[in-house]
Amino acid sequence: MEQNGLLQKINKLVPGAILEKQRFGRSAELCLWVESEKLRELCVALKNDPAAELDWLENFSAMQLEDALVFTYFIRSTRTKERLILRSSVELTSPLERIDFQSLAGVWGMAEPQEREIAELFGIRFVDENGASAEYAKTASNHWKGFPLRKSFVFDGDKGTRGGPR
Amino acid sequence: MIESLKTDLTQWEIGPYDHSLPGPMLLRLRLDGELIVAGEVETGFLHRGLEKAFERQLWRSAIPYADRLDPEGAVFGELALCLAAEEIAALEVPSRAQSIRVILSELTRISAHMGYIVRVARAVGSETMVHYVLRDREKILDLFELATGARVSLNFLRFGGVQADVTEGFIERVLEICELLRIRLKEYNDLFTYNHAFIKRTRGIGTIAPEVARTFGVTGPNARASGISFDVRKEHPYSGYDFLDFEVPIGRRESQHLGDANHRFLLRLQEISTSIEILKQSAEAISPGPFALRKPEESFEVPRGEAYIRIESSRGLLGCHLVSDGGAYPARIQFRPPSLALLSVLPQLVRGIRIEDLPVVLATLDIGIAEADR
Amino acid sequence: MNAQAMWLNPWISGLSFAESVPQWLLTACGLVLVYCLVIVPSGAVMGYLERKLSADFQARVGPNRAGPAGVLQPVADLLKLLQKQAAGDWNWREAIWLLVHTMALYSTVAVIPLGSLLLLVDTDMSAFLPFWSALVLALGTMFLGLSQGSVPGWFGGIRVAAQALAGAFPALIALLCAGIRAGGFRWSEIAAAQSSSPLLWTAAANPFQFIAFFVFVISGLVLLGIPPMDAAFSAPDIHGGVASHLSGRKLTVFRLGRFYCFLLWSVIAVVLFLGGWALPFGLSTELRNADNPRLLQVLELCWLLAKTFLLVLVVTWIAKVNPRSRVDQVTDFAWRVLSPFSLFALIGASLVAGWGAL
Repeated sequence: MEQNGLLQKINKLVPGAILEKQRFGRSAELCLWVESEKLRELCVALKNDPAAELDWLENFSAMQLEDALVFTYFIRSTRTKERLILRSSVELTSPLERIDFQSLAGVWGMAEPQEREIAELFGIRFVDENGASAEYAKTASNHWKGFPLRKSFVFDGDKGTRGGPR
Repeated sequence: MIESLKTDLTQWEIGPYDHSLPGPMLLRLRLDGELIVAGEVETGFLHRGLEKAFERQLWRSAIPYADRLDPEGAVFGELALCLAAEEIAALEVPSRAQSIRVILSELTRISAHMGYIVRVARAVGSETMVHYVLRDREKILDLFELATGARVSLNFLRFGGVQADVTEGFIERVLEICELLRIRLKEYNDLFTYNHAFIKRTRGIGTIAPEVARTFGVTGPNARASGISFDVRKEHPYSGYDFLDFEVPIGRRESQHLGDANHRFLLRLQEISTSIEILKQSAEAISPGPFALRKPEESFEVPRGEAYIRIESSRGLLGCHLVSDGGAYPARIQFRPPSLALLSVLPQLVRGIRIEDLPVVLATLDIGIAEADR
Repeated sequence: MNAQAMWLNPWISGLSFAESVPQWLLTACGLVLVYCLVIVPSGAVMGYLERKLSADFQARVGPNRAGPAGVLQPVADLLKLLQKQAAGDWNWREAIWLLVHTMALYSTVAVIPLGSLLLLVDTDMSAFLPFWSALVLALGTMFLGLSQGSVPGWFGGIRVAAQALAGAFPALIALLCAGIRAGGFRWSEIAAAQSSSPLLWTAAANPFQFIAFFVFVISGLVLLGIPPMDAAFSAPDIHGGVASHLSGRKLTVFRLGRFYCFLLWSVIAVVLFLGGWALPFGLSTELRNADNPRLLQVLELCWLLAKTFLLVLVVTWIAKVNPRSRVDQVTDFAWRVLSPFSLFALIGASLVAGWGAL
């Protein structure tokens, strides 16, 4: 399905979800910025839509750009050749505080191991539609403070770790 | 006394260090006699902070770190990283370098699959096969040493090409290895593959149904053994694969027990044959020319931008999401390892098998803990 | 004078104190001598041969440092195991295992047929005694496994018991076949029914006996847990099972016990089916006529051991090359394949023997 058709369909299914559309890097793939509140709704609609049927989350990557955490979802279909990239972002508050974000583990099976990692490395609580968040076993030992993949994380060598500048 | 006999399920924790496991991971099993009723997987024991390490080093140091993503398939990590950087910077890779990259990739794939055969043979208790395969794998590692100076973590690819041209005699040796491996594959089949005891140990064990593979995003040889026809070298060709003529082996839909351990094993043997074909074509078609269009000793910074590259590693679809903000250090390098999907599928697969089948299932899945934990 | 001490006579007849030594002392010495001179060196030789041969199969070198071409490797291994620090005290279950092992298992040293003059116990039921020793070994090993207190040990113990029960039935039936042809279960009768030429061995007498021979050997492997049917001791899934917590002296006792049973089984198989100790070219009768008992004893023993070693080596060869079978596949095989074959062989052998009597 060509890009305009997809965009129209999304606007019909979940109005107001798309904030911006851009090209992903130098490739020809379509990248949509999505409002974080409507993310799960949009993903469920895309997965269940019979024409698009985007049922495979290929990759879920998180990164920090200046003061915000940007989540990128690379989704595609196992039956057709459809591919799509969704982006959403959330503001970072203080370096040692966890942030809530919508969990897509119920939508795609592949989201769960990656969410588990990102939850610990970036300090996110992934909340599903009932407001509950899954508890994952902590990989790091108990004296680690802070979230390693945030830019504010400081590794002090022998002295331990800090979440951010003192 | 009968009342005091305990007849409920037994709890058994295997790991984190155990020679039937593919790496450090914890398996919590509940057993009913010899049948596994439920299993839980816990990983993270091999987390090395690789993605953070990328952000603390300059761009040129990223390549040795990418080697260590999956030590068994070092070239695949490097290749994903280099292709992503080259897409952002719009660097052109000369055709000789592309051929060298393909040759090293396929040699790594064969070496990784041979390591797989070793693990499967050890899991079923056939020590003779282990030594035969390792002896032949040494020849491939010798080839790596000849070309790059290192046996396993090559540190050979660079942004825009490779580090140096291959030495004299390398291409001839590659062709010799192809012939040798063709003969050896037949030997392995005579000794092991059609052995009745081995077939009984692996047939119908640990079957991944195609729907399950699709739900969890299983890719690579495991998915192809279940009949899903998806190979990144054909779907999103890279590094000159679209000019090569090869057929990707896929499990036949009519066969019984499609997606079981035996099919996964046989498929990797066929993949070794396919890789031998690709090696021969690349080695014969390699053209003289530069090995990189920029001098390797120049410092290089990837300009601002991002890219997502997929390649076919020996375990499945390896993805690399590279983000650069134009600085001297990478902003974010994220790898999507193919083994994550397998770890999600594992609790389903171990339900209902016997304790003795567990090493077989784990070995035939080819899980890479190093890349899953990063 | 009872038979146990009789075999010593040719060796001590010249000594002056031989008359005054009490009978039981001679018997005890005889048993100890048999154990030390026959069983333990056989274990050493077989261990060395197995390692060197498996190294050959696997394109390796094998032991080559202890002694020329590594011949002293078994000695080195034994010394190392014996001087290891004990991992823990003996609990009461392990003590039972040790008792069962040493007393019951090694009492069968008295019944090994090692030559026409070395028949220590030649009764009407002699041929069934090694069968008893295999079951005793299984019982003791099961105790040992269940005493480990950990999941691998429990699994190992239960698997040992399952395999022993599965392998016992066809083994017993195959044993009956050999006795049917010989007309009894005395060692001397069985040996007399065969002679030095391979065509007169029991296994070659008729096709039913041939089948019985194969069933006997294979069911012995199942019964004793010899590779490739060693699921009870397998390393990948249960870390060695029964032996997972053993080291040092306990491990030595364990390994010697298992080897002893395997050797015993092979000796019995050779005596029952492969002609026993009958020397080739009628040498036995010549030596007996020439009244040279010492040479006769030694030569018959060496010939018997040579055939036994060949059988053990063939089994080891097959074991090294093939994968291990799962325990339920082994017991299925024993109950569904070996047992019908053994019954078929028994019926056939009985018919053949009865026909001859008609």
